[in-house]
Amino acid sequence: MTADAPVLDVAELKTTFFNRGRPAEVVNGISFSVGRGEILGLIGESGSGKTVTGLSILRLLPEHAEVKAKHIRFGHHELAGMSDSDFAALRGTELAMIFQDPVGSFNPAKTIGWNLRHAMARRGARRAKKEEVWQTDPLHLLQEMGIRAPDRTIDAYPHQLSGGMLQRVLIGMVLALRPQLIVADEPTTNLDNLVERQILDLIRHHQRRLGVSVLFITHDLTIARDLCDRIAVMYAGEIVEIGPVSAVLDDPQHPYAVSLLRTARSLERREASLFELPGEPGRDARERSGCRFAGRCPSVIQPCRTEHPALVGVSPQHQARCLLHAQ
Amino acid sequence: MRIEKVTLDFAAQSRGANALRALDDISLDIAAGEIIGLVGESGSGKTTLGKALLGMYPARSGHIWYEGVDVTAAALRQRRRDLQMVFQDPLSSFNPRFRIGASIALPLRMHGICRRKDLKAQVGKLLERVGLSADCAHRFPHELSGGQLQRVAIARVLGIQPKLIVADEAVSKLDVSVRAQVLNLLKTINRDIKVSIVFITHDLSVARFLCDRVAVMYIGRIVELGPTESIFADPKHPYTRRLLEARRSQAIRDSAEEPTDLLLAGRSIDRSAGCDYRDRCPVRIRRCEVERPDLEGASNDRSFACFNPRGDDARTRAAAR
Repeated sequence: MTADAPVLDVAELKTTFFNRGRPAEVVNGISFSVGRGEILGLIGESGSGKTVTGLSILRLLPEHAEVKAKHIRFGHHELAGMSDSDFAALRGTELAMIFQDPVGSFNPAKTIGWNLRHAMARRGARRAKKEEVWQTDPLHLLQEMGIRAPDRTIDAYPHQLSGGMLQRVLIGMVLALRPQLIVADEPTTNLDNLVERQILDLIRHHQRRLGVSVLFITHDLTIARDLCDRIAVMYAGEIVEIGPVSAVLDDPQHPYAVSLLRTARSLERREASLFELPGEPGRDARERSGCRFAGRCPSVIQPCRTEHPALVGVSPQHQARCLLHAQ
Repeated sequence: MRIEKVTLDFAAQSRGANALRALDDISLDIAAGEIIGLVGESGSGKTTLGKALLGMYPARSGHIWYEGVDVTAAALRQRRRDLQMVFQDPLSSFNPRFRIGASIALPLRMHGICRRKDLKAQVGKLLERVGLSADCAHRFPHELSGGQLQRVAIARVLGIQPKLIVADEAVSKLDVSVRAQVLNLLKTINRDIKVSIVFITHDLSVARFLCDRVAVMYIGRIVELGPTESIFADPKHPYTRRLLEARRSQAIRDSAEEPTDLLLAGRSIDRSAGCDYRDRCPVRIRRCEVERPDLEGASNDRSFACFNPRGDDARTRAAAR
């Protein structure tokens, strides 16, 4: 196996929702890849299409959504066009997910112990040669996830645990199946800062230990800065900037990325008034013929309103979708 | 407002369980026109205290005085006019079948603030005040984004001209740039009409930007209180220092860190002896095991509840940077 082959390689992913026959494009032909052992952050605000991107890959969208892609390569599988039954075997085992609200991932009528054993039973034929005990024994698993009283937790029901505890259990459940890729969608948004920090540490610790790849979807740049190796910033259904996290955050090229960063920084520095970008993405951004950010961009020039910019390389790894940087 | 030795218990939910002490001997003064932050994790009691300020919990010991009158005894109409709340989830605080304009107009009519013929103009003015266009009045709540709705919630509250607004995690569910807009708005409003704001949050950075003073809460008690900058520059209580660390992006990790689970901790904690924080405290001394620290003043409006505030450990030095 080549060390270079990415775990996930998405090309021209396009997702459209149909409302009474009328199409509404949510993700507009984006391309990105997640390397082996890498954490890629997908950053965007509400309406950017970041969550739908994750759900598209996981095939968790409702009936009236249409997902198209040139290819979605996952390891040596081609996901686009794969049968539902083949995909069902992959999802939840090799291709795992962690959502904002962990409650939905548990059977509420069963104890945590039951839920864990039920999940672990999916391992079945996928046993590795050297088994780590924590991956087969629920008690050890909970201990590995930093839960102090695993015997009490095993017998508890999901509703008896706090959000942070449930998220810990869920992460353990997911990791026990040794996935190649985890799609995590805002897993800490509902949690208080202290708990959030612990959960992020937990993810990072085990991610490094096991070499799992992660597609981490969030609106929070500060989390991305701490956790991710590379990030892709989304706006109105497109990737507007992508690159190594230090490159994008130290030297952002796209005006939207610049403004996100300025806002995050002004909060940290306790400025007298926070930097704010006026307006909101709005539905009409996607209908625009030129650049989708032109309506709010502080650096807008005339061509922006008619010409749709392509992703252009600022450097080999770092690209931005902006006419100001087109060579 | 004056909060005086308030203790509030919630009755046991199931047989054999203990009553949950949500607030324990809380005392706090809130001045007109100030923005005070109630900072803490889930289970700290901050939301309960916010609601108690509005007179929503009658059964308790101690008193909450509003302009000299016990808030639960104060005339309901007056209280409802002067003391208002903005909630964490904007969507669930609006009647989905009312247009925005109707939701804003309703309290104006109820309190007799505005004549029927002036309503439309007044609603328009309020919407513009919060940075929205007047024709938002025709939309329904589900048509607006979270940030826009939260602004409508503020417009609705402003229309009544309250003296105090309790904002309960009002920006937690918003994206970062929208959060900035709403925070700027709250700050502007406080400056312009001198309304007091009690800002409940778990996020210290937000508290730092907005609040003049901060009360740090831990399992139903205030553990540190004082001017914001002073607390950030020199946090005394170990829990405050812990919260400050979590906020930093390159925090110093403590390998012996216990997972936080305040909700469970609050229920099982033994409150009779010693400091509530002793199990997690890195600078605990013998006295902490047997005696409970009270919130005591040092100087210039600073107070904290700790026997060993200058406890020496690497984190104290780092967090104080």
